[in-house]
Amino acid sequence: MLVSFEGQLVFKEFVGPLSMEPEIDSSWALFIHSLRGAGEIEMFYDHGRVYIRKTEIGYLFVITGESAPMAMVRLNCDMLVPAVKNVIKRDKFKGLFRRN
Amino acid sequence: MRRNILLVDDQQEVLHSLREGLAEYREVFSVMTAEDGDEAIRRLRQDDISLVVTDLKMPNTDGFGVLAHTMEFYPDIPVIVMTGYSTTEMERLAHKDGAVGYIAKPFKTSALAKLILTALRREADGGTLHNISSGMFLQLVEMEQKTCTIRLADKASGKRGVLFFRDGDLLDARVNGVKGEDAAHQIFRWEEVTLSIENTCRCPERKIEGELQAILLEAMRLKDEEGKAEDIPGKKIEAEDLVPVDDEKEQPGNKEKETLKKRIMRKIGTRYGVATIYHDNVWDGLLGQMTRMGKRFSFGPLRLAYMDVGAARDVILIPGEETILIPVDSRCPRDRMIQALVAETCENSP
Repeated sequence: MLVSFEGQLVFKEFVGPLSMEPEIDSSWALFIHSLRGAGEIEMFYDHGRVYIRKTEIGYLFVITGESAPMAMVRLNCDMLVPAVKNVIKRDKFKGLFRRN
Repeated sequence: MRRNILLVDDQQEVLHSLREGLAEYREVFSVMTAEDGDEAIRRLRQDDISLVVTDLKMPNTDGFGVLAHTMEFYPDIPVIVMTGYSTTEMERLAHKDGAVGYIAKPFKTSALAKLILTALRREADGGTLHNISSGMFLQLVEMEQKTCTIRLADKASGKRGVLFFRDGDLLDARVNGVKGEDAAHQIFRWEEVTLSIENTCRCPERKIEGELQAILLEAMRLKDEEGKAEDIPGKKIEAEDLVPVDDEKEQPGNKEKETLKKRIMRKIGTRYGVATIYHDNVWDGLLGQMTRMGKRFSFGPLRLAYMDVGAARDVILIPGEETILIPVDSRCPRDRMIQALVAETCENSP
């Protein structure tokens, strides 16, 4: 899920059995503001994890289960993030996300 | 790299003639001498010795004493035994006690030189590398589960050190008289080294319990601290400089918080380059929002958050009655540390 710095949804794609897709409302703008420009955030919950990565056009959210290997998530984002800006320009963003 | 050989014999004429005879190998090694075992032990402590050649029969500490001392305290230094009272049993005992060579007097100097050169060559039978960073290479040794003795020379200080690996585990380290983790911390701070690899490890017992990664990190932290202390004379910069710190000494309930902090510190502490842990409510708002985000996804309670905030150190936030903040080195083994912390917070949750 890619959310702009203003809290607007740029892209979302869910590939797993997430209990419910998040509703993008005004609270996202507040959340993004609260991140204070942090480059990378990992949040660990009892039953899941959220990895957030700053890109040139907003924050990329990767929502995973509790056993997802975060090192792999980070690595994939390392490869993906430099391409985000260009892909957005070409409107081919979906091609970056693979279904596993 | 020219090495120092220590010749030990109570007969001065023997020392003199050996010194003369070995002079032609001065390009490879220089010769130091000691007239008894006690002097040899002092020399080993003070000087940078690469190999010992010792007579067996000497007053006070004899050759077997020198051999035993070297094996115990400097297992990387090979010992060649020479004796005028040679028997098969004597030779067997010398090898059993760890001598790499044995020669019966009288002998030709060239025969001894051959033994010395063979032993020195063995020091680098696994190869020699110049001007490299030790950290990366040593992690490869661990990954490859190598058994070896690595001798390193620091380009900047000229100091030399030894690391002992068995199946990729760092067993011990030595820099002159310093041994164990303290020596490893010194060696891992060297930025550019020449190292030679011997494909055996004579280290008899494990003196270092920590993992290589953790020791490397601790060495980096110590190096950072050294650098910072040099930058600002008289001021030692602590991680507290990164964010405001609460004055918590007078607040109630501090005992429980301190206990939790101590538990966390014990679990991850210096092992992962953590300098300090403290309470900081500045992040409460963000943690509240993170908690709400977890609810959106039905992920349950938030255990912790790791953030790269663009400062010298990353931060770990642990929610609770008061937010716990742990500044960490961004080069720390993040996943292992997070795993340890999540386990810790789960143990402590009601």
